[in-house]
Amino acid sequence: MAVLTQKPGGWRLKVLRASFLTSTIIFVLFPLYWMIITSFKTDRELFADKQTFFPKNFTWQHYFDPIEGIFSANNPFVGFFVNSTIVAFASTLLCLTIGSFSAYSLARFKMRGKRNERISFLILTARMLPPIVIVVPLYLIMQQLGLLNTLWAMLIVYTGFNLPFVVWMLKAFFEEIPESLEESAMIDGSSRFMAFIKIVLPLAMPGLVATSIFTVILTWNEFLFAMFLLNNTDVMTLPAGISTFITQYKTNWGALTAAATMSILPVLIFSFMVQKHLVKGMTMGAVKG
Amino acid sequence: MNMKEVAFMRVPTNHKTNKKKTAAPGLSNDRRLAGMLLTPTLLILALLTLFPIGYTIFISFSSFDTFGKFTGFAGLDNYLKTFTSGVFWSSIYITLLFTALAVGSQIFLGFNLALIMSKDGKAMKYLRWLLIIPMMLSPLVVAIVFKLMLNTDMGIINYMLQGIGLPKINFLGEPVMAFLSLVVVDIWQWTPMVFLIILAGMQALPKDPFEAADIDGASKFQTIRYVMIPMLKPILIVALVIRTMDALRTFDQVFVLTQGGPGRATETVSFLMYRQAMKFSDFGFATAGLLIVLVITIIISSLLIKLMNSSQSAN
Repeated sequence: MAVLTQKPGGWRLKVLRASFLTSTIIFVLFPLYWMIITSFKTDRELFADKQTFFPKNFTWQHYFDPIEGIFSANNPFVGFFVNSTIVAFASTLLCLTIGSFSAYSLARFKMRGKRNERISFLILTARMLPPIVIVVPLYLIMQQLGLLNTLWAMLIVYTGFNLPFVVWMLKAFFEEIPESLEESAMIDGSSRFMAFIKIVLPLAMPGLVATSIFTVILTWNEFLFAMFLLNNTDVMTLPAGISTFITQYKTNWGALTAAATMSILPVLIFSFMVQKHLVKGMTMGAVKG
Repeated sequence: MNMKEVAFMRVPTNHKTNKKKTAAPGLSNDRRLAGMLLTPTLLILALLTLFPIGYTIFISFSSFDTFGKFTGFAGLDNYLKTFTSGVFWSSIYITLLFTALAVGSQIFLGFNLALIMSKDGKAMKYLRWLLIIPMMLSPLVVAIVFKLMLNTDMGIINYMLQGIGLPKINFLGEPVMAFLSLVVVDIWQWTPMVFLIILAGMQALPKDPFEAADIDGASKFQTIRYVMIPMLKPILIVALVIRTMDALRTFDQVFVLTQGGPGRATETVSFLMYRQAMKFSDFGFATAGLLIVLVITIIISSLLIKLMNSSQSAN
């Protein structure tokens, strides 16, 4: 839109605007820049009195050093990464399967009264619950089921907690597909369910992809549940695992920033892929993006 | 959904038999399929939310020994303990103040940023992606990076302060500074999201009212104040609702940056309950407190949602 930019603003306004934008960009990017360059500094440079804005002796030691690098055999980082990947993809797959059915049901079928809206709202309230309210009883329940310190617990919890998001997102995507397409398929003799699988799902593919990427990112970043339910470094996901790097007696900032950098890399790539759908994703489809 | 429908859904072959019976399924078949498709979601959500909440209610009326073992029913003791605890109310106050400051700043900054960034163009598209990176990151990682930068001895921010002749500040060690640091970290991470929501709203606005304002000779400020903001109100409220619900549950940043300290200066409700439950095994206090928090969250959320619905129907 260019509604407000048609009028030529004064030069003062232009300077003000440019400086606001520049300082915002610096404010946003500097912490990321600092994290990345810190991971390439030697320990001596890191703790030196004189801070450097670019590593003087560029080093990969925090990544590939055979003893203290995060990719060395005795460092649990690779395990965290693998665990996060398994949990994120498995729960996303499960969520999308279950969620797409429900989203289709809510998007298409008119139920008696205002039941559609009421069920949608009910699903949304599950999302509004502060996780801390749920996590203490979940801890006790998982303990009794013997699932503490297993990825199964995380799979169950994340599937449940991403479902409201997935249902609301996909509902918004399904509502954009004209119903007449399924009707013509059904006239040709296919059932409603098959029409959904064969016609609607392929058409909603961009939406399905965007939703899965969001779900992967949400799961990838989640810390509270992981911290409560996982106490063993063998099964920890990235946020829970990385947090153990700081609670140790002395913080190894080089390894910590290296681990942080590696953990955000997939997210950066994924977020670039879904930027078109970001608004819908962040508002669960409540606002058209 | 009534019990009859639920019973039907357990028969997995239902939709196949429907297929044979009718070419164009009637309403009743649709209803059955609708319920069938919905059941798994509702079941999982019930298991993972209603059941734990029920369990929480049970625990909140029970008493435990120092090892966290159930020792009997406590009646309203836990609630009395929580209600009369100064620590609990101070954590509520801190959480509310934090939410108000952080979300207020985010709406203000996000709105102004959206005004500036609302031009079209390829360069803008990539710039937009750069600006929204923070909200895609794990709050835990964000907190770690800020912890490094705010460090008193080796932090870059104190280094720069010294460079321009200012004294060092113990950001995470002084009550007010620690609290403000948390607010700034939240602003850094979540202003992009508010910005993005408002930007989408701005881009969807009709052009006519702006042209009319232009012809009437309205100034830029007047156009924003009297034309744009009223039309954007529903979007602004959506951003407000989403951010408020998230800010009320802030935990990760507190965990990494301050652990609630110094003293209890930054102890949000979520963090207090974590500490009570996990460090002190005081499940009675924690669950009673959590239920009170749940009620407060529900009240705030439903007030905001009412506001959202009324503003949407007004438009």
